[in-house]
Amino acid sequence: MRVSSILLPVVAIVLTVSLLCVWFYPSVQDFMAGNTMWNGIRDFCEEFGAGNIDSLEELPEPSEGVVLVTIPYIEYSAAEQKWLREFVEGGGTLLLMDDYGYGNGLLARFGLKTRFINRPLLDPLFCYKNQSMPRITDFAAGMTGSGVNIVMLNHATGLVDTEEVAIIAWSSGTSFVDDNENGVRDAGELPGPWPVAAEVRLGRGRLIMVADPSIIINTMVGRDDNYAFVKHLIESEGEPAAILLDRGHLPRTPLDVSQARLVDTRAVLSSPYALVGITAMIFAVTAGYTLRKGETSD
Amino acid sequence: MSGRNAVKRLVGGAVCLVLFLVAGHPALAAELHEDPATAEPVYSGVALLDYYTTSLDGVLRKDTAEVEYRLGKIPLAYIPPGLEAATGDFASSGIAITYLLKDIYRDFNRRQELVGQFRLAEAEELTDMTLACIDQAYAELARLREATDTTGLVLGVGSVRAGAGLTEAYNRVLERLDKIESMLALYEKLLENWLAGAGGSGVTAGLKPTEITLRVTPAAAYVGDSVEFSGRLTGGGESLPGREVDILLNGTSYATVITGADGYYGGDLSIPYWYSPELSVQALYYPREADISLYLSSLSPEIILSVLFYRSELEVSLADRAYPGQATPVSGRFDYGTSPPPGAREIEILFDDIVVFRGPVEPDFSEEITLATEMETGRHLVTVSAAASGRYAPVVTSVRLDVSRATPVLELGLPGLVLAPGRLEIDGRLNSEAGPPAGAVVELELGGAVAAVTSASDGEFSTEIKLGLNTGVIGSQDLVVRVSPQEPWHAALVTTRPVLMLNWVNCGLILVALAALGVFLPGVLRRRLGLRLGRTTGPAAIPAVPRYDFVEQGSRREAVPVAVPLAETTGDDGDPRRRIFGFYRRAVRLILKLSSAVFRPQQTLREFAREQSGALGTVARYFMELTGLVERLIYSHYEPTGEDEGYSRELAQTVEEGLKGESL
Repeated sequence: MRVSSILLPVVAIVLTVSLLCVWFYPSVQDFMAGNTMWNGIRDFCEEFGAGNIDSLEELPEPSEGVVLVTIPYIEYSAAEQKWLREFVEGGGTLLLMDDYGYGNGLLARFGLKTRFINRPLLDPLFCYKNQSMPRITDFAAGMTGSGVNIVMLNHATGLVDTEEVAIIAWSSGTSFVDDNENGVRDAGELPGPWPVAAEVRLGRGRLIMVADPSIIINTMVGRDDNYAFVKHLIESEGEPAAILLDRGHLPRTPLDVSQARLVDTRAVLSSPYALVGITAMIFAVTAGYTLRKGETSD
Repeated sequence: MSGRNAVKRLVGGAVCLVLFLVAGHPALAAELHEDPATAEPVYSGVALLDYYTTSLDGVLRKDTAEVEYRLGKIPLAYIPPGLEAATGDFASSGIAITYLLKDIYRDFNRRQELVGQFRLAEAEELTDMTLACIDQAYAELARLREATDTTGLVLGVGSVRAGAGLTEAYNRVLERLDKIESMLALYEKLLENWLAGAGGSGVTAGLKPTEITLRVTPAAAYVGDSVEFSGRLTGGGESLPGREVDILLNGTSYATVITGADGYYGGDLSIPYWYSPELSVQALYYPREADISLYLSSLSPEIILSVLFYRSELEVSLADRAYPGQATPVSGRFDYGTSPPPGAREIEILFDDIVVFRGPVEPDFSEEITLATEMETGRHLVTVSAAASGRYAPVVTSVRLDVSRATPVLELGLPGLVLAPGRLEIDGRLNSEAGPPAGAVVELELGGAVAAVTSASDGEFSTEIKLGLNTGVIGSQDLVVRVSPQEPWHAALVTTRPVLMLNWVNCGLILVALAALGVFLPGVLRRRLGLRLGRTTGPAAIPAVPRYDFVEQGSRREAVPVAVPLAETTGDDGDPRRRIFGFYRRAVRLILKLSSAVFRPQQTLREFAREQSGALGTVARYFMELTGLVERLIYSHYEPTGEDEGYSRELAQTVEEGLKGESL
């Protein structure tokens, strides 16, 4: 058996298996819409009908009535910050959910003094199972009637310098910011309450800051009143025209990148000219095989 | 077989490698969050005990609001199993004792005021009440201690595993409880001492009692009107002239009069505009200056005066919905019942605590307020208040108002089928519950082509979209319409309409391409595959030629056909028959190669020779002879000789030389 005669079938088999694996293997990455495990956001996307965008260039215009959820674990470029500002000032709602990412750069671009602390917010008493999962029970008067009594966070942070924004929720008085991340409240580590959610109007739109993106992961969105809290933030000024999730600033594994590219490739192959080309190729191969078979039969 | 095994191993290894690479690891750090379902529970006894401590600090400050807020959250704390009851008891007792301490403190100060005014009987009565409160507070304190002990037991305070921090936190709670107990003990001691010696009958020894009377007429009066009061002050049976008498309204001093020579006093009392249906009136004498150490104080019996005023109800009605930048009516109606209605009345209209209107209105009124253009949508509060006016009591009514932006409704006229490339003419009309959007920018996008138009004052618009080439063929596409109104009371609109599009250019190109494939491709493939066959497949086109063997069937010899494909024969076999077949086969192969002809399966050798005679030219007859010889061998019993073999070779060589010398 010659090598050349088996090489092509082997390559074809490996390629097919690879594509099938990439297509069907579930994502395990944090905050991925296709991830059904505890750290994905499949449930959030399905419950709220959130669509995904991979680039802020895809932001719709006009932006009024559109809610964009962004979790900035990748830094925004100057152009992206500009687009986001235009999006908000044009009437859109930006739900900026950050704990240890790059949200502060965007806040500075918006001209705000408020910042994410980017240090763990711990609450050893009002928590769920351990101090890294604090429970929030203090809300602004505007939350009355929203059905939100308790929100559970998961490795969250807090907000600082919030004089110019309207605070939505605070941590309890037993919470503290663990500056040295040793899990213990040391001298100099100020106790709570700390703001964990706030909003501010910019132009015709509004910016909502939440100091923990983990409240929307699969294992969290259904706990306590997290769902009602997110729903209130998104729908407090009426049902939005669209809810979009920015995937472009979430780190992705090679599998996620491959899946996205496979989806794009399928879209390209679904175009009419590509279909015609594929049809012609199949026709040519089939015709050639048939004719060859007829010539060699005895 | 070894080759097949190698292939299987290669494929299996590649698949395993792919699976390994695909199953990647999360790219973000694991500290971003954890799975609550699998997290280990960690209880913080120190945090709970410190929470107790700070709550008890609020108790010591008698800050009822703070204590109630903090201890009210105790059920939400993450506490070890078995502590729910203890923490609940701590919370309830902590709140109760805070209110008791506040009352004790207030009554203690009040008692001192009464003693200062020599209202000793009242002071004594109040002291007894205060001591009862202190007893209740002791009981709540006992429950607090019990709850604290249970908490310490469950948390393991004092055990080997408990850290120093836990013990210190526990001791801080006990310290606060001791402080509370000390506070209660001090109050109790002071009050008991006063009752036992310094106050009560001990104070009154040697002092003359006084009496004061009070009469008020009429028993009912309107606010602002005057009533007459009078009375007499005596002490030890004698009139007490020139003494100050305080007239108390609802327990607070409102006026002061001086008794006359006979101890009588009187005057007019103007009913304050308090709009309360009842007013308590009392006269109070307490010794001042020279009367101190001579007389006791006295308080007249309480007289309840009926206060009359006009009540009203205010009904306010608003529109179902209001829009930013537009005026919205606020209608109201004063209902005075049986009271006489006043004329115009001054009102204030507040929109979310901001005064937006102030002025006089009639009992039935309707005023318009204009909402700010940048107002937030949602529920707002409209408050209408009318201040007190003479006998008319104030009245306030609040109503919720929904503020939203009207969503435009779009009507579009579209054709059933749109051809691209081409032009699409669109007529439309915008309307809304707040009126048609005038001057709204309407942007339409279809398949990458965009057109924009501004709506007229009645909301109508008309435009066309120039559709260019695209990659589509036929199908439904969405026409995206974006409306950006100019008025602040209109919301933006983004909507889509499906449109059936036919790209006639692409359709034509595709049909031409398919036709070309169907017509020309088979010929191209036939030519290309035919040449390949001449070089590599050998004499497959030459059909099997039957040969007959003779076998004995009883007394007869039967000719049995035996298929002997010519393709199996070569010219090098020792058998002349086979060699002759080989010569013929070489000649046929050459003819097929040079003429691109096909030896059809149903075709006989002679038919083939006749068919190719035109192309063979001068050597056709030689090929015909060779064909005849071969047919004779095939269909008869003739056995070829060496001479036949030689002749066949010459014929085949002649044909080959002739074909090579000519172009077919």
